[in-house]
Amino acid sequence: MSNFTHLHVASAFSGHYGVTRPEQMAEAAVASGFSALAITDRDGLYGAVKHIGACLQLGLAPIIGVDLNIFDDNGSSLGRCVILAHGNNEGAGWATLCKIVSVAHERRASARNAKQGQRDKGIGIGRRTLAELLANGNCTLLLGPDSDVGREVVAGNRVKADELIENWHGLFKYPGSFGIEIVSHLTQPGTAFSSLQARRMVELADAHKIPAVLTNAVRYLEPDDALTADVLDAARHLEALGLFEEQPNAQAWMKPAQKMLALAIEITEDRARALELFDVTAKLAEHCRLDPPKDCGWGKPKTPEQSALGITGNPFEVLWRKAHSAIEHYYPNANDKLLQQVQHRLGQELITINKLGFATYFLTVADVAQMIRDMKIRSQARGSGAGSLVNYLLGISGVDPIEHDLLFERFLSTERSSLPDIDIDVESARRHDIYHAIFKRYGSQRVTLLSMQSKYQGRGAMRDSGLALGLADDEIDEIAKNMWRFSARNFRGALATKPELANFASVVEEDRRMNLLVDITERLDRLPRHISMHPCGVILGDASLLNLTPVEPSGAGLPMSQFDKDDMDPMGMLKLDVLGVRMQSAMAYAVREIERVSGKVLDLDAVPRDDAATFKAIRTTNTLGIFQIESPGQRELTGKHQPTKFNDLTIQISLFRPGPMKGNMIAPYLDGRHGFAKPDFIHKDLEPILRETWGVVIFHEHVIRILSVMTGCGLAKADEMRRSLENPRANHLVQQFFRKEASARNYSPAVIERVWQILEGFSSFGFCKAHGAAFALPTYQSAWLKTHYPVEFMAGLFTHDPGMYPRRLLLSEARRLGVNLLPIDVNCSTDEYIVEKSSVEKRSVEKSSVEKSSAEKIGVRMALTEVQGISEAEVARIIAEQPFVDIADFYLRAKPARRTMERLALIGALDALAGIKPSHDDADVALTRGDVLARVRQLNAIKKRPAQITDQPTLDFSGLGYSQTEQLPTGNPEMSMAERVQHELDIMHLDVSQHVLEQYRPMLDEMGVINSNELVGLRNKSEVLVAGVRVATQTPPMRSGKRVVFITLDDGTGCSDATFFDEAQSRCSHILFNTKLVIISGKTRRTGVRGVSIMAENAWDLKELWNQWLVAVEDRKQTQNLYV
Amino acid sequence: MGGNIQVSLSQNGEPVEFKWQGASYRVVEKPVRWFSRRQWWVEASRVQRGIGKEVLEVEMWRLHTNAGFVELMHPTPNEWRLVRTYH
Repeated sequence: MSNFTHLHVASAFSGHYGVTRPEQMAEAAVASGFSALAITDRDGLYGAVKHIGACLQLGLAPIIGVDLNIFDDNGSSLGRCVILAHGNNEGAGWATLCKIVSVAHERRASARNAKQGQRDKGIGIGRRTLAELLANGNCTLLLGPDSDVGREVVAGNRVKADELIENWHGLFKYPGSFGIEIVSHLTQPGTAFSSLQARRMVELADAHKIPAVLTNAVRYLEPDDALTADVLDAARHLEALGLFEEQPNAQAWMKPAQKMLALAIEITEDRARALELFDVTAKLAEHCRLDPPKDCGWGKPKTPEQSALGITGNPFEVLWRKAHSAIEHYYPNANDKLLQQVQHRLGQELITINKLGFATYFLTVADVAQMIRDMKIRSQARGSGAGSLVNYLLGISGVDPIEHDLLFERFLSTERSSLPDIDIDVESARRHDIYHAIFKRYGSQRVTLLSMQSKYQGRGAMRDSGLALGLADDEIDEIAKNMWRFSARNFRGALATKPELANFASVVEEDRRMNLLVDITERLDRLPRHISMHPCGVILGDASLLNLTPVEPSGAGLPMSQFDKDDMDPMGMLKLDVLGVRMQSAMAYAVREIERVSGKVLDLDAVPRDDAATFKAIRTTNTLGIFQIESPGQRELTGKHQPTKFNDLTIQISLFRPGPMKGNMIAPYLDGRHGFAKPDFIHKDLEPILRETWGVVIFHEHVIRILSVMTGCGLAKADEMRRSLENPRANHLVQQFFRKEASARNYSPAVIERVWQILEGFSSFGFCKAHGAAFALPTYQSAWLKTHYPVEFMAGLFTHDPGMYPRRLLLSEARRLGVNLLPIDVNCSTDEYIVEKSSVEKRSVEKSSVEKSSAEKIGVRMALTEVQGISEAEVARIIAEQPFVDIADFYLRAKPARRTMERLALIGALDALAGIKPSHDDADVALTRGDVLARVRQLNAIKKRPAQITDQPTLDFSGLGYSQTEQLPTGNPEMSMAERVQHELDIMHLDVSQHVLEQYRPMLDEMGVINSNELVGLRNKSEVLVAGVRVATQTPPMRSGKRVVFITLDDGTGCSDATFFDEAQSRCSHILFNTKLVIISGKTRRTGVRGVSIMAENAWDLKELWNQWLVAVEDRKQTQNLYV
Repeated sequence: MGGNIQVSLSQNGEPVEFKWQGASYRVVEKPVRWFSRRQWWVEASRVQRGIGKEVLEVEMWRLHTNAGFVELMHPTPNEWRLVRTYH
């Protein structure tokens, strides 16, 4: 059988065009007897790395090319053509291909091509530019039926075709750089993909002595897939099927060599010519076979050159010196024993790093970490990298691996040659500054962002399928709403079994189009859908980076590689994840406010990690605003766990996941810790390992140590085995090894069996301790700040909003802590929540002692941005023009819109301008907020705001002792507290003046509602009533399958947690999901030392009860009056 | 038009003769074959994996017969339909 290679193949990574993943193509190619296969995706090398990887695994020779639009000098399209890279030339062909693709994306127009309605982004390359790039002859361009030449051939204009082909031939002179692509999809004679036209193309090529190459312009693996391709075409055209020109048939599949030969014969009608076609194709294929390591840098880790890092001399020596010189800083008071331990550990890590050749990698990451520090931005490494002493000494990670018993081998070992992943958490608000700084520091030739491919799943698949079938948007939305929980692949199965889909299932049976909808949605399942920028990844390479990866615009102002995170390791590219974490921004904000207001410079990372006050505060379970442990579930766990030291936080974070919760690891741990049960270490050898968790295996590090101790295999091998545990195929090998070696070391069969049971079930439960410790650090730090600097910390939380709760709850928590909440004031507020010292104001004779002490208080000033509907411009103007003398002055210079002005008045932001003080009991001023409002309405009624007379100096009367120069209307009623709070809620969604519950106090007291902070003092099973704002409603999946509803209420003194089972739900489920202010009745249930929740019996709408109560009170009064 | 006709094939699967409405027609030139497509979204009731080719694609033949040109549709191995005749 003659040798054939497919040279024009679109994989699923040709967006909205290809159907089959490269791995599947490669497998099928091998099965068909091919020895090589090309992938030529549209507009890029999106599938290239996956293709090369699959080929290497299967013993198939990889070929890579691209299918691109080519433009003439006037910008008109000359059609799509294939460009293939030649291989075995030290990467010259690959580099040229990458450059071609990068250039093609530079010319990207932003407008969609309105005429065609396609997602046409204007990607393509100018013919002249392409010719220049191909001048070295290390790629081949193929012109096919889609080109300008091909179109003239179809139209029968031979003379014109001759002319056009010479235009091409003239530009692409290098022998072998140019060819004609011969394709027949056996379409109707006279159409572009017919055998007749293919024959004409052969004739044309022969006449001009240009090589003719046979392909099948493949876009799917099997004919069946053509149907999926139809749907993708509809998605690409943004039109329903039937409204655009569809593909002609189902012939564009990966045909076996035999069929390709038959095609060649049909096209040429001459067996000898057909064999020549095959021969030329085979020769080109041979030229294009890649040698991945030599051509693409495959498997060769690359980091920035020494010079780019500013290093002279041997990088390993530099690393060694840097690490050693930091020992004193990080272990200042270490005794000899500890120092020895540090030295030994450091030596071991450095040996491994040296063996792997990763010294420059560590120096690079350390360089980035230092750069971030120099920018005064908070950062912390997360993940297994926290287990490395080198990382700790280089300032990359913030937890001491020796103190926390973390393993280097979990992060890096000679068993794995891949570049380790390092993730760095930074202040979210400054993330983009860091990307730009990285680009600037290492040069744009060494740095790119990376991409990620989203997949067709559930809703998205259904939408595009619905579009293809011409279904109406709302029909599709209705169905998509139901689909989101199921993978598209399993939808038909779900239809048959899930009761909530019963309605839809019957519709599907009756309606033909619905049936089709389900079928084609399943076909789309998990196909690549969109490329977008990976939100936090950065590739740091050497100067050859852009020769190894093509780039395209990311939308963030920096170029991104077309490769995704799974392509990094094979290509030897170093990816750094720089993740924005809002808590880091919040903490940085707090530290800055502390310095600004008190002058104290705080090094948060140097704060001792054993502060008793901090742990005490955590143990109260009032952990709102603290990183990782503020959810209702975490609060309950805190109540049971009662952490006292840092390691406890590491453990708690690691335990709070579905695996350990389901796997019954928490109870034995808590029982052991609190002395309710004797810990079972299974064997004395395991005691030192499991002591910290009272015999419970929680961490990856535990598994690694256990495997090493019981088999003697060493920590590095043990980590490999741990990874294999997760692999169902390699699992049994680990078991064999474990049983054999443990036996040989005389562990009893019972011990071996028990340990194996734990290890086997472990894979889904375990957590990397280094990861937990890295997370415990910001948990501790946020708790420390909340304990010692609550005002500044809450200000940080308000500004950066990191957690799961709405701002109003954080306000309530701040109030509970005694933080002064200063209302919006147009003279003081900005666009952030700033800490304010209330200064002693004017000398007043009647200075009471209360006034004196409150003068030194600090509080948090609410931000202008909370006002509903206020624009950025208005905020900016207010800040720029502050302070204002009176309301008219504000009106003139800040120029607020009428609604904004009124809203500000309603929430008291203008009170200060009228001399009204927040304490409300200043007898000096007789003005009310009602008066302010009246004044505002006067000003708002003015038709045209008078222009500001800027050259007239504003008279400053404040020094003269006049209270006001403006005459405000008087006699308007004061606003009650309830009204104030209501306006605040309406305009800011925040109850600033007092907790929204307070206005209902008389009724709550009469009913006997208790505060949530009193719950912990009650006996178990006490009957209680609690009230509050519903802040969390959760319905997690339960083992029983029945729904349980968990409700958390905030009443200003803390949070109460209530559980509603079936019976209780039946009484009040409509309250549970819709009502904001709730009263709950039930019995207390102790869950731990400081854990208490309520077994709920019923719930009521508080406002409804209030209205009823008011009526009852009125009735009572009337009744009383009758008897007076 | 459109009724099922009987077609005799040569050794390499090409039509050589067919019967329609009682009459027999002989193919006088090498037939031309291509693949066309159907609108499955209008016609088909199911399009699950595996069924794609048969609902999407259809084989077509143009025959030069002793009585003029005919176009035949060959949707399944045993089905032949006369689509049109022309000169």
